[in-house]
Amino acid sequence: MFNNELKKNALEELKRTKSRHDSQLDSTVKMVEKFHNSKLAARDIAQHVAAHLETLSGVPKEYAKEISDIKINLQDFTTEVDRLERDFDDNNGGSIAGAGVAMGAGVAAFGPTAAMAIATTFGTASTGAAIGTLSGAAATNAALAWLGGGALVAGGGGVAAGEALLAMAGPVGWAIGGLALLGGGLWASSKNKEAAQKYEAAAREVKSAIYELKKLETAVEKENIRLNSMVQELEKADSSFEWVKEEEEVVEDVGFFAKLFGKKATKEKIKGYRRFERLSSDEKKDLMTIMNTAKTISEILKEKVNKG
Amino acid sequence: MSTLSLPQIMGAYKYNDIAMDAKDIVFDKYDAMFAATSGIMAGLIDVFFVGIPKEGPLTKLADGMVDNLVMKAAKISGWTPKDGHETIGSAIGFFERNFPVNYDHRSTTDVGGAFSLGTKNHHFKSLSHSPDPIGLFFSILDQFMNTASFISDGQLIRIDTSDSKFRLEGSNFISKLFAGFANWLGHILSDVAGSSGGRGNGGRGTGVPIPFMNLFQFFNVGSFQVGQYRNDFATVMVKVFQEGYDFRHGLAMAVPVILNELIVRAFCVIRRRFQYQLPWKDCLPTMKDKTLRWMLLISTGAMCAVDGIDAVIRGGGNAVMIFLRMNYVAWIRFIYLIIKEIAIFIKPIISDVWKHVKQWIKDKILSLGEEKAVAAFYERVRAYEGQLEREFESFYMEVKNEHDYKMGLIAQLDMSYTSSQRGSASVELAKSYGVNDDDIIETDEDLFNALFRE
Repeated sequence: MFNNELKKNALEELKRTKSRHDSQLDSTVKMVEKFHNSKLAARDIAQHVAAHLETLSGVPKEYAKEISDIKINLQDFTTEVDRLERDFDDNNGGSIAGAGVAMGAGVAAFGPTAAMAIATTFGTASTGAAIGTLSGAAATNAALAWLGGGALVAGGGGVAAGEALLAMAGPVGWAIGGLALLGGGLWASSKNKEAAQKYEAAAREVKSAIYELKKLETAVEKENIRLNSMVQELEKADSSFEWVKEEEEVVEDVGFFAKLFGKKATKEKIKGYRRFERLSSDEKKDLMTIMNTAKTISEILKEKVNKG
Repeated sequence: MSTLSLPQIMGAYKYNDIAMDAKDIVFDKYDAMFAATSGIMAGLIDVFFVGIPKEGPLTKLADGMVDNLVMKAAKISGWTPKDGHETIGSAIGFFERNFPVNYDHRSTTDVGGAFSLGTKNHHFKSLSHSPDPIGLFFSILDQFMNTASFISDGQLIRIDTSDSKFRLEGSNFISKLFAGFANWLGHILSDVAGSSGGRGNGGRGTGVPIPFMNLFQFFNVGSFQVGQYRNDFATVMVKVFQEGYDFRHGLAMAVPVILNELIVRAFCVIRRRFQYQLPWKDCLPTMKDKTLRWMLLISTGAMCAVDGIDAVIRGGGNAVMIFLRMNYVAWIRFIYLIIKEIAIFIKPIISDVWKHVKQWIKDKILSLGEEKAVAAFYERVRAYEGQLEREFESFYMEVKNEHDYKMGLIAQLDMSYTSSQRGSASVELAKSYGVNDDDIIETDEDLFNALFRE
């Protein structure tokens, strides 16, 4: 009678969905953070390999194109992380430790690196408002709102923001907070039906957001597995490759090298070339594997994951 | 047993009883003991000083006070007695002349034989003679409607009085209402100390009932021994009234009850101030304090016990004599305190039950016939979930295939037997990640260029 039961069930369903969304968001953010940490570790090993390549060739990094490309990618990633870290610090009065934000009951507080992990994984451009320019907690909030379905707040379900934003914790909570205020009263059948429809529509949007998060988590999880495996392989190849050999220091026929390298035929370069000449065919293939893998890893660091 | 002097008792307190707040004070055995003692004392006062109408010293005192009150009220209202005629009978006569009413029937004949009525009980049977809100209501109603309302044999009986000479003064509703009220009060003053005739003959006269007591007439149940007859409760109460159990006796009965209340409250104040050392403003207890309520319950209970035992013993098995000795005021107070305590105890239970009842009404009654709509709602929910789940499955398979392919290449980096195979796998891997073809090293020449070309 009066659609009261319908309204009650729709609201309950919305609340249940919201709770599922909270857990999914929590799990996705944790995966993104894990991926971010893997990227940091990958950068370190790739930098290590690049340094070895420099030593081997005797060509300064800024000149050897391939090494330089790897290094540029690594440097871009490092710069992005540093910039985000610096912005957080500046806006947060000193430490990114305060950047964590409590999401309310049912959702664990996200760590300070959550916002940075989201920004580096998905890119600050796509996350809308420059997350890095906001203060710690606000940045984390904005990042989570973007990731967790901020669109719901903006226009989804016909929800007005305002007081609704403050009503419940979490981006999706904001939306529900507004809906929970929907009146109708016990006796107003049409109003109850209208409220039930709004709850149902909101629940559908929240469900979509849950599956989007699930997709992201799956994609990031697989990428993380691959990155870690590649890092492992690169590390192994790097450590088994004989980068430096005790050699007789002979500089012969400088003219030949001048012809080969032009004016930049430095002693180190000549030494590098001599070293290269003496590499066996297998060693050359191994070096090729190392360089291609490092290049692939640097590409992964550069790439941003697309969000639906 | 040694006897302590007051200073020693005071000194014996280590001041560890000092309470920070009135709510910290808990009801203890001393409260109980004192309350019981006070109640027994009040009961004894009731037994020896109130007794039965016409005999107890306090009743006589109350009779005298009411006489004085009536005479003072008469003087204020314009009574000018001749010298030597300043008697209660004259004062009552003044009120009788000036405040006649249409509901003053005194005999069975007066009411046309509708029920049994006599001069000694007509104040009790007439609702409008009662000095309480019910009496006021029926008095006004009777005066406006030209009727007279009585209770007899458990029934409410209304007699038509339109043939009486009585006419309500006043030109409009408000003035008539005021005149009606004045008549009610004036007429009660003419009856409270007995009638002019009755008092003129030196008797005590029949007063007006104790507030609400005439409602007992609705309970015409039970069978009580009265002399050699058996009467129902309503008849017993009529007879009790006829024996002088009226408003004046009620005043006398109120004395030990009030005394008991004052003593108990004073005890609370003294303990709070001097034992618990609370500021004066926190010393006056209210009925919200459990200690006070329980002390009043115990003391009034003790008083009623003494009163009841005395009444039963001295009543000699005659219900009228037993009720005549019972302190109506004390018993009403006791019943009130019990009800109040029960109400406090069950209030949260009732409120909880009511909450559930409301919820039940809301859930079950107001939601009848909505099962179909709710079922359809959940069907839509399941369908949408299914659609999302299928989409996710397809996405997952896509991601898994790509992942498996790439992981196969990564595995080759490790497991391939030859450097050449590993190199080829690294090329494929780089391609699968979208590395520029120009940047992928596939040959020795590429390797040389990558390392040495600037």
